[in-house]
This record gives sequence, structure tokens and C-alpha cells, in this order.
Amino acid sequence: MIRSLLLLFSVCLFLCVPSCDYIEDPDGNNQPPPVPCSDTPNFTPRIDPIRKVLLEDYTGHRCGNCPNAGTILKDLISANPDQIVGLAIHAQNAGYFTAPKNDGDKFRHDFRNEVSNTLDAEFQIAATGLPKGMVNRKAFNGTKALPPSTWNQAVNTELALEVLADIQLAAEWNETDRSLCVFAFVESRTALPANLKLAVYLAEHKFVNWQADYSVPGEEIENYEHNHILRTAIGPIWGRQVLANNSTNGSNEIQVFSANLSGQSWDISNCSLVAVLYDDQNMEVIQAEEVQVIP
Amino acid sequence: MRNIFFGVLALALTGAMHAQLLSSPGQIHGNVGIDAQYYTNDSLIGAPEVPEKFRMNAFLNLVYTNNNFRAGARYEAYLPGPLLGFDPRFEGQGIPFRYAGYTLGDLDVTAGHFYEQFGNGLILRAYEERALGFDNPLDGFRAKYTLFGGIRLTALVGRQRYFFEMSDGVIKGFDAEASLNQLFPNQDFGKFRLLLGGSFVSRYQGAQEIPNPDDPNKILDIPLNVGSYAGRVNLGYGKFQMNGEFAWKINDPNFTNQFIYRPGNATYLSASYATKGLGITLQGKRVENFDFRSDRNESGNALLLNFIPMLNKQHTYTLPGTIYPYAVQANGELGWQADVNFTTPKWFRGKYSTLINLNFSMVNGLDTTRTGDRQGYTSALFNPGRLYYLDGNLEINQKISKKLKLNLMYMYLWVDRNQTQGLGTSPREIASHIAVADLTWKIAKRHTLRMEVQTLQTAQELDQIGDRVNGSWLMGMIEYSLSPNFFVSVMDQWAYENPVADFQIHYITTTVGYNSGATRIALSYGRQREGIVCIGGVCRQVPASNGLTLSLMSSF
Repeated sequence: MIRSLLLLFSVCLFLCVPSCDYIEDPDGNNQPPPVPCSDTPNFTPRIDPIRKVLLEDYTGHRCGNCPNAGTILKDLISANPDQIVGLAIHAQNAGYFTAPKNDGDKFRHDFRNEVSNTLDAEFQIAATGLPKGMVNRKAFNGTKALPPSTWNQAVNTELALEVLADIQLAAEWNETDRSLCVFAFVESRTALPANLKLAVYLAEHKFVNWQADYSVPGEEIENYEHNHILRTAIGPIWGRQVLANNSTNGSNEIQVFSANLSGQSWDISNCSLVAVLYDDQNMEVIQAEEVQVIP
Repeated sequence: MRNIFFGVLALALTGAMHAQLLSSPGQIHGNVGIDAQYYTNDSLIGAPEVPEKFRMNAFLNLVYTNNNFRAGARYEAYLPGPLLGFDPRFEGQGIPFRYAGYTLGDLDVTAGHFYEQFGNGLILRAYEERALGFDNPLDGFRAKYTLFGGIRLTALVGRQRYFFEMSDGVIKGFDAEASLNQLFPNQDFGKFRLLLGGSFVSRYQGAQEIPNPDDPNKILDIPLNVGSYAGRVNLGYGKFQMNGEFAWKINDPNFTNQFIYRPGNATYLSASYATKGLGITLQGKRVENFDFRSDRNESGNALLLNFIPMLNKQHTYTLPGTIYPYAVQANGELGWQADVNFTTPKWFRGKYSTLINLNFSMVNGLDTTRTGDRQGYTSALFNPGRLYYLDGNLEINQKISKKLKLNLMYMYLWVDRNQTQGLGTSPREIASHIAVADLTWKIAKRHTLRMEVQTLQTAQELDQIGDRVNGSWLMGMIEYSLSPNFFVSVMDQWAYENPVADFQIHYITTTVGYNSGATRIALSYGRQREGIVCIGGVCRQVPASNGLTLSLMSSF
């Protein structure tokens, strides 16, 4: 009996004990060194800021109906100059549509990334099928996942609202060490809720690669120009709290975000910065802004 | 790989024969299943185009047994690709399941693939559910040993099946279960029964660089070994039975929980009382951050390692079963169920007794507060969060005469469709009333006619006008069977109140089937409505389709 119990104990010990890694510090120590940023530039509050609307296009390079949605986004930007901020989100949860191919020459680029996946995990858009979009992360007719045919109406609804806050961005790009500093100036134009967050994303444009397109013969385009591709967040994915203590009309604040992009091959001359100011309670966007990294 | 397997199997058999373990030729059993469909284009019902027109899911299971030795393999083919609604990663063919094993006294050893469940499955359940396209056996070694006639030990190490490949993660597991009544068979415990169990499961998966979602310039420190523990007790006294299990999982940042480090836990409790003519079951569960897989990057049904029991009635009728079924939310839910089965006593009834089933279940999310860091959130222990699902139903089975039998069911269903079907996080609340009448008429010896009428009544969702499931439904089915060989049925599901007139579609399906011994073959033609199939709370989306379906199942 004692021998059997010893056997039982040793098997249990052998299998169980060395099999748990408790992580005290999830951030880890494997962090790149902080990016040095120069002094904060001066921002002058704008006299007449305009309302800008964020349109997140959940898309995929193997989604044959998605180029049509891209065209709708492009047309909306043309029709409302400087008022629409686009982001193309290639989320892992879209499965086949966003997965890169492992063989052959086509569709090998992986557009997916942690930031896109995290945003999609929160809003669950890709699961509803592509293409879909979110306008200011608000629900219209009961859903945030909007088919492209309804984007125009949702954008017009949002553009008709008053400007609640203004965002100005300035970027400092160091080509030598590929470091990026972003200075964001946020100014409230009315009394705002206390739970505002500001997040900054990097989007790449004019990236030429394969795209499925059911509207063309062969249903594939080799030299498709991908725009607004969400590449990463500069700073936390969900941003930082802003205007926490004072959100009356005219109160403002400057936040500095930085990142080292030395491991990435993105063409910075074709990249823009997208800033999103949103209410952390309901995740709805109240203002957006976009500037080129290199003007 | 397959050649190596059969080579090793042949060597093992040869060796075993030399060693005179196999005293006779042994026996070979098996079964075969084929589901194939010719698809026709039908854009009205939203059926995806199938350029190859034809698809097939097929398998052949072979099992060889000889005294205490056993070996088996399963060949599967999904050609040119799996049927619509099954994971496209199944495409191809091969032998994803093969094993050999033997039993020697109290020891049982399996090498190769095996299915296993520890307790209620909270931390390990490797099983197959063919209708879901779900098959997650482990491939490795498993040993089972019984001590003193009442302590059962199971130890295993393996990788999980991942379509025609294997998981990155390696799973180790250990389970011990002791039955008081079996350990001390000579002791008189009266009506008292006790079973205690404990288990441990760990996943090892190599390192990878995952950016911190709070700051993608930092790399998360990912745990390579993720362990989970569970303890369970099964108590019985006479007609009472109680089953409880609590499980804990250490930090397991993964794709489904958005890489948070909060430990997970799951509690399951079930109590029942059964006596002649009456059965009562009460069940409850609380699940928090407990999606456990053999790969931290997977989602959907792929590489699921554990199983959270569904505490809702598994409806078998078409409309209640496939329009708004409940899918278990492994990363957070609080649910309970009450189920009463009652047979009318002699003094109350006429010639035939009435079987009544009353069932109520309810599932809420957890009441959580975001912490703003990698711990993710804090949660209230018992406070229910947002309502996900509520189902109250009454079913009455009544034999009317020697030739007539009637089943009636009424169900009130409230569901947050977005949340329960993974369609989004914004609430999409649907309340519906469902009624079913099912009449079986034995016309003559061997001739039976069965008729079903079902309806689902709900308000139109005027903001979801592209949805073909929208609004109320009617369904009728008539089935004639000439036992034991032949049956034919016609079924119509009608979306008669869809807000879009074009989507008020009749989904008509005709099925003809023939049974002979252990072989069943059925041919169906018609439209398949888009929907969702759930078994035990694990679900599969089924897209719409139209065409001719062949189904064959045979065993020998």
C-alpha cells in the first residue's frame, strides 16, 4: 500500500509541479529603450475647429467584396475633405479573409497585427462578416458593424453634430534610429465627460500588394494600392486618459507618445498618424485627427 | 507519416504474436460515414457559391481487438473541401487518428490518439462531435491505473489534433478519482455514496513575441507553462445526487481573453432527486476567463482543451434548436437551470400517463469592472451582469390511444443574439414565443405517419433588414415510415414575416431514407436555411445552401 501511494505521489509530483509559470510583471523586461523626444512644441488653439469622423473599415486582402468598401471610403473622403479619418483594420478573427498564404507568390503579406486584433476583439466586427465598418464606434440602428452601403448615412449623421473637442498633432521622426515622437494637443470645446482617452495609431498608405476583387476578371489584383492600413499604436492601444481633471470649454492638455519602429519595414513617407479621442465608458469617438508623419 | 504508422503497427503486431500476447486472429470492427452534397446556386437564400459544385466529408474507422490488445485508425477525407459550414482547414485527406494500446490487469496504456475527460471536463475534455466538425483528441501517451479497486489514476502527455496537423502546445495531465464505496466494498455505507476527484492539466507552448496591447512597443512576458487544477465531489444519498467541481487556471493570456493575466476559475454545481414518476434537477455555474486551449493564439472551436457544461435544455425540434440556440461563453457567464420531469400518477390519469417536462434556464454575463492594466478586470462574485439568455419551456408527451401519440411544447425565449452567437458586443435582444405540436400516428402494422407543426413568433427587427432569420417562422413536416427499412419526409420552413418580402422564403427539403441492418442511407433535396447548430453549448454556424445531399452511415 505504501509503495502504491508513493508511486501515486511521485507521478503527481512529476507531472504537476514544474508546470506553472506565474507572471508577476506581464509587461516583461524585454522592452526597447525609451525614445527620447525633444521639447514639446507650442500649439495654438484653433478658432474654428471642424468635426472629424473616424471610419474604421474592417477589411481583408482575400476578401473579394472589400475593394468596393475601400472605394466607398475613398469617395466619402473626397466628398468631405479633411473630415473623414479612415483606418483599414485587418483582424485575425476574419479568418480566411485576412490570413496570409503560406505557399505560392500571392497574398503572402500579413496585414494582421496585435492592435487590429485587439480592437476587433473589443467590438467583434470581423465575426459579422466582411466588409463591415464602424463610424465613430457608435451603434446605428442597433449595431456598430455597418455594411458599406450605410456608411454614408452614418457619416452624415455624425458630421452634423457639433464639435466637442479639437485635436492637433505634431510628429518628430528620426530616420537614423527610426524613432517617432508624437505630440498631441487636445482641447475641449464644451464640458466633456471625465472618462476621455486619446489613442494614437500609425496607418500606412500606398502599399502595393495582392488583393482579391470579385469585380475584375480573374478576381485578383496583383498591384492593388492598400491605404489606411492600421500598422500599430503609438503608445497604449487604448490610449491614455486626457482632460481628467478639467473638461470645461477651452481646457486643454498635451500628451507625448513615442515608439521605436526600427524592427518594421513600413515606408514612413507614406504613413500617417491617426488620433482618436473617445469616451472610455461607451467607447464612442468624439473627435479624430490625421496628419502625415513626414509632412 | 502514415507509412511509418502502419509499419510500426505491423511490427507491434508481429512482435506481439511472437510474444504470444495475441492468441487468436482477433476481430476487426469499424464504421464508415459519408456526407456529400451537390450544391446549386441560390443567391436568394444567401447561399455562398461553391465553384466545385460538390463537396464531401467522409471517414472510415477501423478497430482491431485481440484479447487485451487493441489498435485502430480513422481515415478522413474532405474532398474537394469540407461541406459548407465546416472549418475549411479540414480540406484534404489523411489519417488523423490512430492508436494502439493494451490492458494488463489494473494497467491500461494507449499510445497514439485518445479521447479523455477529467471530471465534468472543466479543465480537460478531448472528444469528438462529428455533427459540429469538432474533433480534438490528444496524440501521445496515456496510462490508466486502478489502485485498491477504487482509486483510478490517469496520466497523459500529448499534443492535440489540429485538423491534419498537431497543436504547438504540449499537454500534460493527471487525474485521480476515488470511490469510497468501491475502496471499501465490505463496509456498509447504507444509501450513502461518495466519489472524490482531483485533476491537473498543463499546457507548454514555446515563446513568441506578443506586443503589449497597452503599449505595443513592449513585449509581453508570456507564461510558457500554463497550469490548471480542479477538484470535484460526487455525493449521493438514496435518491439524492449532488455533483460539484471547482477549477482554477493560472495566468493564461490568450487571443480570446485579449491577452489579460487575470487567473480564471469555473464552478459547476448540480443537484438532483429522482423517484418513480418525478425527477428534479437544479444546476448552477459561474465561469470566469476560462477559455483553455492548447494554443494561446486560437479561437472558435479549434484546439479547445476544456468544456464548460451547458445549463440549458438541448432542444431537438428544428425552430427552437437552430434559430437562437445558446453558445457557452467560456470567458464569463453566470447561469442556472431548473428541470422537472413528472409522470402523472395512476389516480390522476386516464388509460395512458402524461409525461411533463418543465424547464427554466437563465444565463447572465459577469458584473465586471475594468482595471485598465493587464489584469483586465475585477468581477463581483455573484452579481449577475447583462442578461444573455433566458429559456422557459413546458413539454407534454401524451399517448392518446394505441395508435396516436402527441407531443406539445411551448417555450418563451429571450436572447441577446449578438453576444450568444459571437456577432458583436452591442446588445441585440430578441424575445420570442415558440410552440411545437408533434403527432405520431401508427396507421397500421409497420406503417407510421409523423407530423410536426412549429412556429416561432417574434417582432420584426426593422433595423436588421438584411437578415434572413428576421421575424416570425412557421414550419411543417410530414414523415412516413415503413419500418424497419424505409422512410420519406417533406419539411417546409417559412420565414413568413421577414420584413423584406423577397426573404419570405419557403425552405423546402425532401428526404428519402433506407435502413438495412447497420446501414442507413438517406438522400435529401432542397434548401437548407442559414442557422447555427449547437451541441452541449459548442456551436457551428451553418450557411444557407441548396442542393442534393447524400448521407450514409454503416458499421460492421
